[in-house]
Amino acid sequence: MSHGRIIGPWQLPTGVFEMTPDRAASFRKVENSLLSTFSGWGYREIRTPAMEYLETMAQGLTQAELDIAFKLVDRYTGRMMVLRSDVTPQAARMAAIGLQDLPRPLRLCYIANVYRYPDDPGHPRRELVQAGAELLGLQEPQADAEVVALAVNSLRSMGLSGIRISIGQVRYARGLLSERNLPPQTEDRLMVAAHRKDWAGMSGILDSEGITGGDLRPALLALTETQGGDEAIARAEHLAPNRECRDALTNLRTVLELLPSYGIDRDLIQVDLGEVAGFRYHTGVVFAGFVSGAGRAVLRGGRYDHLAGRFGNPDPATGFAIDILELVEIASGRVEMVPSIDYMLVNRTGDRAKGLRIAVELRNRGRNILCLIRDLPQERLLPYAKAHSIKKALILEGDGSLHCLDPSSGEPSACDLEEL
Amino acid sequence: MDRNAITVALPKGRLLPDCIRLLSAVGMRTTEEIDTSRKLLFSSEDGSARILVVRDKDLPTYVEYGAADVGVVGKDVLMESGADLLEPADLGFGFCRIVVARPASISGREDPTGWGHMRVATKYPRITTDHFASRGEQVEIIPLYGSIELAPLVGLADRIVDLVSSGETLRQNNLAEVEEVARITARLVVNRASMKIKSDRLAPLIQAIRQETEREQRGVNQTRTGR
Repeated sequence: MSHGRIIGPWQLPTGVFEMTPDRAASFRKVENSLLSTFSGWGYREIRTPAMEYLETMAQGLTQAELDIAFKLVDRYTGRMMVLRSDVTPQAARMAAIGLQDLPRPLRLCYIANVYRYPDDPGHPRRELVQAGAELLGLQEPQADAEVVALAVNSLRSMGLSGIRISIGQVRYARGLLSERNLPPQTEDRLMVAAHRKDWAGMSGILDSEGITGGDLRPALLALTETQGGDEAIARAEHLAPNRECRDALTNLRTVLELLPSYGIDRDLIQVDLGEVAGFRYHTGVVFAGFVSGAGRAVLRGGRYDHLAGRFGNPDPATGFAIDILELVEIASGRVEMVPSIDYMLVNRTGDRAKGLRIAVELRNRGRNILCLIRDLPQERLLPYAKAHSIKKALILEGDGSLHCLDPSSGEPSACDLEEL
Repeated sequence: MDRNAITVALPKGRLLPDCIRLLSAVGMRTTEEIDTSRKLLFSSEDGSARILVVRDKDLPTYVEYGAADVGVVGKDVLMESGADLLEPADLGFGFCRIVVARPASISGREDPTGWGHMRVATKYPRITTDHFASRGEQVEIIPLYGSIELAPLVGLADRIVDLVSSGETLRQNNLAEVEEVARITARLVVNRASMKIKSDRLAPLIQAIRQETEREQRGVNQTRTGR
């Protein structure tokens, strides 16, 4: 209030969302197609709480990620809680504690709202919706390939086009860094430069660290180069200074070779060893997904073998999450929305019970039917039906006869209750 | 315009002539004069690119949201914006520095231990906060949008953080540089999604720009050694 800004009771807090029936319907459609894609691959849905103790979340998140979580104090215990800002640590906890006795591997999926303070002032969204899948208990590159393929299929199921997956292996960058004993802050700065493809920035850091000659400098700088297909791996292999780097590349190559058998065209995939956003948390193949019409990555995923162990039951794992809120906006332009209510019953017989009996009968047959309580004059009947996503108005006249009206054409047609 | 076309954002102002020269050196020419026209949207001669001219502070936003695939912007604007962009080339031109300056009447080394309540006027609140915070020093930022040099003269601030090229403005206002915060040049920035989706177009363009930049810098260095 000190700035004289008046916040009215009608105003939404910055960065949260609400959905009108039309938006909610198209959103639900996308959620359903995602969930059916996930279950089509054998992933079972889980639900997780909207609040967690800070310590729990801290197991799976970096300090920077924790900094942007909403925090509150639990009145019962006095401990800090956070609003769910990421589902993966919760899924890992559930796998390690609630589902520890289930035979591995485990395939879990979710759609959940998550809450974050925006770390970027340009994107003030504080409430997001994430759809994700986690595959726990497998170390094999086949698991990485399955998760990448599922991610691509998820984007496809949303009707999105221009899909590209950028894929890397953080153990390669970690192997390079292991050549020198650099302070963590310097490593972070180098990885930020790699992630931004900031060649100039990285050479500046290397200069100031005295990494001027040898093989390490070109290998690190190559992380910032625009990369592409197999030749990118070959180039990195040529520069790889140690076993860890070579193993990382072999692993990445295996995953890439598996993808075509999942129906993933190699043209969709771009190797990018500078894909190091979560290099402290991830432990293997990592990837990001892009689609036409969205300026930023819409999907992030990768291997995180150390997380479940922090909850007492070590389990290798990989998975991904898609930010679906904005994607629905992009996809909904391509999704044809069909009216969701089959009939609107207009009962003009004066016998209320008769109309309601017909409605019950139709609902039992699986039809969606809305009963008009107060009759409307003819000129308002069809606009009402159109505005409320109704396919047909069903008029039960005083003489007991039944006819249909199409809201878009206004054409009446005779109809038989038995055939509705 | 074809689906594969790319959009290039250029900043209005002092960097624009160098940007136009660079684009034309890598084969992206327009039939109209971008720097003298009052239009904001241009097409390249071959129709394979369109060129937007935007305010420099807005440029990172255009590129971050993908309204433009590629752009050129000063490192100062980029650092201040915090936008999540790719930054694949330092273009070398538009050199200047961001510095901390104080009234020339103050002498001696800067002593943060004596700073009770240091007020710093700047048009770079983010860069300034980060600069001092990285050493554990806390300052009060006075955000200004122009004539920053005035602030210490009228008691609005104790220090300024501003862009300097020759340092002449500082001298004329009896201010002296005490510290360099960053060296600034123009940067090529690229949208993350475009880099992946339009890599066929963008990878060769970035490569050509890097080569052109290197060629120019070699030229500059030779001139320097020649003297």
